[in-house]
Amino acid sequence: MISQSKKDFPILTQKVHDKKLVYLDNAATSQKPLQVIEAISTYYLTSNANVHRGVHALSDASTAAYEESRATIAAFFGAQPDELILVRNTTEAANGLAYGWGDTIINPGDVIITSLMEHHSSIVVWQQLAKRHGAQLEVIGVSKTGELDIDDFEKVLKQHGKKVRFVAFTHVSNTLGCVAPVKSIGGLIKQYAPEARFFLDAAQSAPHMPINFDALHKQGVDFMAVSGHKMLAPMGIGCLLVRKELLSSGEMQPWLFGGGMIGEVSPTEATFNDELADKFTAGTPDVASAVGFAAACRYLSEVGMTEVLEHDRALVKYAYKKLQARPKVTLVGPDPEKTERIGSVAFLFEGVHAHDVAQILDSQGVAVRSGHHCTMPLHTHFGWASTARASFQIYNSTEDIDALMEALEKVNQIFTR
Amino acid sequence: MSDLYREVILEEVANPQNKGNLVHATHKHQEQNASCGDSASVDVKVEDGVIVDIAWQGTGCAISQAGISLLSEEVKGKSVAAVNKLGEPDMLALMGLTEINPGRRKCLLLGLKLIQEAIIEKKEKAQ
Repeated sequence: MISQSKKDFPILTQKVHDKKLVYLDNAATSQKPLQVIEAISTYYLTSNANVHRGVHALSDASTAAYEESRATIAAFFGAQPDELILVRNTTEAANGLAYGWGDTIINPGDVIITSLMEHHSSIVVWQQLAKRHGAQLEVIGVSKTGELDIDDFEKVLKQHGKKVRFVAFTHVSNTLGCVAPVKSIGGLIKQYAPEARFFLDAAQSAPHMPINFDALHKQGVDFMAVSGHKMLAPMGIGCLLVRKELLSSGEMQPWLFGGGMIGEVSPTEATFNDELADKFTAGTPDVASAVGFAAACRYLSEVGMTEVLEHDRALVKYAYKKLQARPKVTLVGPDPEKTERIGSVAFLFEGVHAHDVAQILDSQGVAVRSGHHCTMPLHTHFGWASTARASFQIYNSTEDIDALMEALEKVNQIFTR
Repeated sequence: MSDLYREVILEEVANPQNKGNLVHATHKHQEQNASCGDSASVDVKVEDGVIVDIAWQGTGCAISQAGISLLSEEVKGKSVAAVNKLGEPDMLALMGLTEINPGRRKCLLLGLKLIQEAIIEKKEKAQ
């Protein structure tokens, strides 16, 4: 039951500055339920040993825990275990994709398409990939309502046609909250550049909505990245999902080399492991975090991702409405009553810098993010120096948003002179 | 926090000192706080090792803006050597604060970095 979930997050019971903590910085990182924390400590208390290396009982226990966790995580995202590459986070997933796939496939003169609203963990990686290979980077704009400009995307696809080799878009914007029209994007790619590969950054969608990688790749998605820590799992674990054909055909190559990923090693040469899951896991993996990630997936499955999505939608709509009605507040991104909006609401407060807004909210116990949220191109484009952002998780309620609104009164009091 | 938004700081933000440009600046510098999106620039006129005039422009949070404003007034008539010796304790004192939380340290120090970088001689910068 989602309404009962808060009791599973002991960290939320504390007070900050003698005020009840209201945690609304979930797009940065979520809190972790007891179930996840206990899974990690149980692993270290009972099963810790290196995986796939030993023949002793503990190594077997650790290997089993790791394999089960991989299977649970893959199943949670509707992917096959072979399609799952565990990494530290979305940033590492995008970088791995650029080195493991991009460096093999991208040639001088190729076109890479991304958008103005991408997180730095994505856009900076494609900038570098384009630079390494003399490729051209096209950055799709954002419509006035704060959504991906799909007409601009079609125009750019039409212009470059088959020269387009790679498209990278965020599934849900961490600043605007808008949701990418995956099906339309996939359809346009198929129409104009059928050879191009499509990467979906799911860092902000996976925590809030059901994700089925199989269904997504039927719509044209080839790669997807997730950060576990934004969806109740520990920091330092996430995944890159890769369509299996791209792994088995060798189009995607390992980008980290070392123990575990090899087949045979001679003094001057090495072959790689036939098992796809092993081929992309060089070195000792973070087994405990994988166990924690799987525990988070189980926790969310028990709540039900459809219920999670409905809960998030309700909170976003409630927050948007309250903030919209408040004088001096300007919201960024689309109106959730008119179009799908997920996870967060970012806003400007007239005459007060977002850092000052966030600091005063903190004094009232309300934790929000302020700054450019790693979307500097978007902020620069719209001329926002800095925005404040409230973002949600299953343990948040409309009461938390009421607390935010009350704390905003304090901002007003301090800065109205 | 109750200290952070004291009247003196809010007053400074509402009525900043030395905002603008200098026509005959001998030193210019720009600073950005990448994590905040804040930016500020400064024009300084140095004569015989002494700051005789200063003007600045910028946008940012109350802490960074009040800090630059108060510091710009403080350094007028001071020697470059003396200004180069200023540090975090001086900024806290200037703002009437006893401490700053880690997340706002860069805001507090933006003005100091801006002015000190401006008055470092080019040959020193090259070293």
